[in-house]
Amino acid sequence: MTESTRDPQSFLPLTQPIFNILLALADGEKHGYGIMQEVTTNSGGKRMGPGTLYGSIKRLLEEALIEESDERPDPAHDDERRRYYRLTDLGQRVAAAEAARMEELVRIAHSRRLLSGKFMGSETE
Amino acid sequence: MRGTSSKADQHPPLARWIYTVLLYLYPSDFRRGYGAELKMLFIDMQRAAAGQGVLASLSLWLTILLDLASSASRERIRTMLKARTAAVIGIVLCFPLIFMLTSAVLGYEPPFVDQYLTQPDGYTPTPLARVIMIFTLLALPVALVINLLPMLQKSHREQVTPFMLTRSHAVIGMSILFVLLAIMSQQVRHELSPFVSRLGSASIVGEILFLLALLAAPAAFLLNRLPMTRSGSGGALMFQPTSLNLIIGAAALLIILTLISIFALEMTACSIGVPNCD
Repeated sequence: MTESTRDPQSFLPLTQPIFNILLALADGEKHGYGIMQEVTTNSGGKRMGPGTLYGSIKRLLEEALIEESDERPDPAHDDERRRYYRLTDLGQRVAAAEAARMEELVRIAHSRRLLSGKFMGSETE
Repeated sequence: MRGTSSKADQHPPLARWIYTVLLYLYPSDFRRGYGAELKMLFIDMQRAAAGQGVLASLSLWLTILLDLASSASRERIRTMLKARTAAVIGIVLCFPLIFMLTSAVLGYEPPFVDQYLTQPDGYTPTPLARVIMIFTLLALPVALVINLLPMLQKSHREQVTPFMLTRSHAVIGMSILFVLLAIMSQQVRHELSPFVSRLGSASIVGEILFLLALLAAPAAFLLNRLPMTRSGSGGALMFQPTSLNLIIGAAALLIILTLISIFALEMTACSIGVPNCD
């Protein structure tokens, strides 16, 4: 089975570091430190360690969810040794499928009033 | 950014040297693939923390060390479970059994067997011998699981190369293991007979395993040929005479056929009424 025809659902559920990395790459290619900064921002300041980051990147490359990019956004201001990564088509579909799965979970949580009062109330009021 | 990184690398302070040394906790292939990037990332993190005081530096080191402990052990386990490493671990775990069977076949009893593994009567096993026997029996399924895990892991890149273990190897390994387990169960049954009058279902399990092994042998051989016939492009078949899969498969089949022959000969001898056939 080729990577483009593989069912994104077969990857789900994603682990938190994997989903965070896919999210970080959703708006364009980034190098390791760029991904880490984006993950830290998206996780409310919780930092991902370098080993976890590159261990996850390795597995994402093996599963063809991301790929290395030869292009450099701004070669003049960048270290040429840095490797940039970007989502593949399959990676985008897997990230979308995971986001949809989480959206469905949130919808269920809403329907059971888990997010309406005690938890969401303080933020929305 | 280029200039700062290069400058930092030219004069690595103690922290970077320590981190470089700590990277040896990772498996070598991971270090080769991502070591340089990990160091660059550490330098970036260190630079970001440098302007935020001592607490930020301490927090950075805490993050680094905790992450190192978890990710290095995770990568080590993943490397250990890779096919080739798994095969080596499997062989190491099976070594006691291989040693026992080899010495039994050759009729050679090393001096330490009398000294440490049997009681003065020369027959009753010592507690150490019993521990080794139990370890041997437990090590076999562990070796099998370790060897099977890489085959069961999901991967879209199911590429068969001459030096990679395939599912067919797993089937062959399992069939050999079944044969060995059956032989071992016979031995254990014999050893335990003075203490346990009837093993009942335990001995039946051994027989079933043996039958499964007999059925698995031809299937293993056929499966082992599949990677060879699939390797052509455009539907055309391409023969690879140097396929290690084929060589291993043929060797395994020979072993299995030998064991089957021994079993069949013994059964035939008994069925035609040869005295003392068992």
